[in-house]
Amino acid sequence: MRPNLKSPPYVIAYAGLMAALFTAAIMTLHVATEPVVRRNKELFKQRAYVELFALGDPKTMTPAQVAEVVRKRIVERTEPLVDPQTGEQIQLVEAYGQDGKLVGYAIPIWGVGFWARIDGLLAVSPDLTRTMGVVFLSHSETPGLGGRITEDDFRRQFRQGKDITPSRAGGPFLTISPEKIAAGDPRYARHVDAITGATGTSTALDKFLNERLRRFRRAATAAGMIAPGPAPGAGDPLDRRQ
Amino acid sequence: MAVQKSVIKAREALRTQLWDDNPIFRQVLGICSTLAVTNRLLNTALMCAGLIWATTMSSLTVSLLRGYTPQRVRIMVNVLIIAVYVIVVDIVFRAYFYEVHKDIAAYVGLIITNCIVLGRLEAFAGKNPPWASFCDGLGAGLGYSAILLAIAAVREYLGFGTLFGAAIGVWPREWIIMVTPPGAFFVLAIAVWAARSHTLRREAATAPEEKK
Repeated sequence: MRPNLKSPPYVIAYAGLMAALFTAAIMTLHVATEPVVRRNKELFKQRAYVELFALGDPKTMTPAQVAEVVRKRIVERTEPLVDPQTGEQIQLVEAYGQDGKLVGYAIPIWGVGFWARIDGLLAVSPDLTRTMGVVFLSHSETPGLGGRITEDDFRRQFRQGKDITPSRAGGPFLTISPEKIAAGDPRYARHVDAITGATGTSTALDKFLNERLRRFRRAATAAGMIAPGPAPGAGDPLDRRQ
Repeated sequence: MAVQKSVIKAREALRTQLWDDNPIFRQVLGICSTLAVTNRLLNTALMCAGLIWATTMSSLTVSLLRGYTPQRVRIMVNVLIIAVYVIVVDIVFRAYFYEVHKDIAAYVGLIITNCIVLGRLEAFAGKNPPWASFCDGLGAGLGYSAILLAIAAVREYLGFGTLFGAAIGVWPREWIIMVTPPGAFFVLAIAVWAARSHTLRREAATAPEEKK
C-alpha cells in the first residue's frame, strides 16, 4: 500500500523517523570509533613531543616505542607557572635526555589563526633564551596555504635556535614576515620566514606567539626561573628605529 | 527488457555526467571547492574521494526512498542524507587517517554544501531508479574529480614544483599565484575554455552529418 505523501501526520512522522534513524547511525559509528580516535590523538601528541625535543625519529618508531620514550623522558611540571599580570596558568612540560639532564621545556602556544584557534607547543632551551622547535597540534587553516605551518620547511626555522630573549627596545621576541633575511643579517636571530600566500595565518601566528612568549617570560620571572632585569640578548636587531 | 532499459539509462547517466554535462566545465558547479583545495594533489584526491562517496551513496539512498519521501520535506531529508554520508567520511578519516584528517577536515565538512551533490539528488535521483541514480552520482563525482585533479596537478607543479609532494626538478621556481585562489581561477578558466572549445568543434563536425 502506497502511503499518502501529502498527509501532514505522515510528513511529520517520516521527517522524524529519518532524522532519528540517521542520527542513530552516526552516533553508533561515532561511539564505535571513539577509542581509536582517542588513541590517535594521544599518539599524535606523544609523537609531537618526540619530534619537538629530537628524542628519536617518530616516523620510524612504533607507537609502543614512542609511548616508552615519552613515559621515561617527558615530565609535566607539577606546579604550573602563573603570569602575574593576567593570572593565566602556564603548564610547562620538561624533557630529559638519556643522561637525565634537562633538554628543554615545552610551552603551550595558542591563539586565533586566520580561520579558528591554533594550538601547539614551542620548545625552548633550558636557559629560556632559544627556541628548539615547534609543533602544531590542531588548526583549521587553509590546506596548502596557512595549513603549511605544520610542514617541516616552516617549522625547521624554530629548530635553528631563534632568540627569544626580550628585545631591548620592547620590540617583538620573534618576527614572522615575508621579508627575506639572510643568515648574516643581525635580524636573522629573531626572524622566521612567513608562509608564501598565507599572510593572514602568518600575521596571526606572529601576534599570538609573541603574546604567549611575553606571558611566559613574566610567569617564568615570577617563578624565579629567570633573573629579573635586562636579558643577555643580542641587542635589538629588530628595532627598526635604530 | 526492463533490465536492459535500466542498464542503458545507467550507462547514459554515467557518460553524461563524465563529459557531456560535466559538473565543472558544463554546469559550473562545485567551484568553491575547486578554488580552495586544488593547490595540492593529495588534498584534492582525498576531497574527491569524499565527494564521490557522498554523491554516489546519497543518490542511491534518495532513489531508494523516492516513493516514500513527501515533496514538502524532500530538501530537508536530502540534506540530512548528504550530511550523514559526509560525517561518515569525516569519522573514517579521523579514525584511520588521522594526520590527513587534520589537514583537510575543514573541507570534508563543506561537501555537505557542495551544490553538485544536492543538484544530482534534485535533478536525477529523486525521479529515477536506484542503479541509474547510483551511476549518475558516480559519474558526477568522477567528472568533478577528473577536472579537479587536472587543475591540481597544474597548480601544484607550477606553484610548488612538486606532484603529490614529490619534487619534480624541471620547473625552476615557485610561482606563488598558482598556490593562491586566483591561480585556480586562471587554470579553471583555461580548462573550461579548452573543454568547451573541444565540445563545440565536435558538435560542429557532427552537425552536417546529422542533417544528411
